[in-house]
Amino acid sequence: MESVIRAAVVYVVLLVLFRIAGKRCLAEVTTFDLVLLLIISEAVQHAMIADDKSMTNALLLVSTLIGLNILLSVIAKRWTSFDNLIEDVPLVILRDGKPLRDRMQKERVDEHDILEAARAHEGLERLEQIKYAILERTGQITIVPK
Amino acid sequence: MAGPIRRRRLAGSQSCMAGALQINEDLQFQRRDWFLQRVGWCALGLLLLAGLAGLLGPGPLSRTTRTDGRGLEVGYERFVRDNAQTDLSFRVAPQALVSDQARLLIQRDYLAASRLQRIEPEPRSTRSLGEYVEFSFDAQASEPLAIRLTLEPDEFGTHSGSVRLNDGPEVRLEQFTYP
Repeated sequence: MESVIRAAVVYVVLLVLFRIAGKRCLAEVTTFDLVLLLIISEAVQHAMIADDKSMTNALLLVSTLIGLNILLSVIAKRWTSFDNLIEDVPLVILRDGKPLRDRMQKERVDEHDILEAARAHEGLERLEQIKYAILERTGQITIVPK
Repeated sequence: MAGPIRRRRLAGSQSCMAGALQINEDLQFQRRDWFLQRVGWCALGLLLLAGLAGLLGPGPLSRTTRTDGRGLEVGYERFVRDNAQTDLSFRVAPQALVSDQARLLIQRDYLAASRLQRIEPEPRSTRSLGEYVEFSFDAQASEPLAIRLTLEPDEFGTHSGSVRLNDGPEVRLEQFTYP
């Protein structure tokens, strides 16, 4: 019983924390983000397994985590507002070569992030060549060239 | 900046068109989301401050001492965590010793909520006495006796218990164990 509760609590707390952190958190994994991810998993591990190192416990934990994931996706499919709540919505951050500064500021992205995505995915050189830049719910910036 | 994006929202619909771009952008939701994110940051900040202060476990606001007024001083953490070791320290003044001995009585219910890991120094004897567990220590009359119990809380929630030295008055301990 305790395993299921532990896994559920950890799942929900992490979900809330990463939603608070915003779209960009751990979206594009830099070297340090990778380290951070490892430290987070290490820190959470003990909270979940407690002292129980049995296989039953491990399987129960993994089943709980995946079960919750399925449950949330089923609910999200049915109610769009719930989907938005847990998965966020995409946001246009540049239109017709002009950055939408207030939105970018709120999401903590700057022109260099947009240019980086433009270079990486479309081979573009300048902001003017971009029709739309969208900050997706995954945290990635996608580019529609002109 | 206005342009087509201002006109593109379909009333009451999640799905919007940003010009030619078909996207489920939702600015109203987005603004609320940003607001809640900021609220979340504040909550996170408060949580960290509470952690630093010792409201979520050992720390400056957690450590406290109680005394029975007759030479027994008990030091303990008000906030402890499940499965994390914590100390209960006792200091017995020389004048409180009875024929070079200290008999420390700790309520059994209090001890039951933890696993007793260690006692320093080792008691000469331990026995059950009513609702208490009695630990007897040898001491030297010239210097205070310091005793330390290392406990590992086992149940979360509020725990209280009382401690007595010899036949002195009770000292009550209140402890909260976080999961």
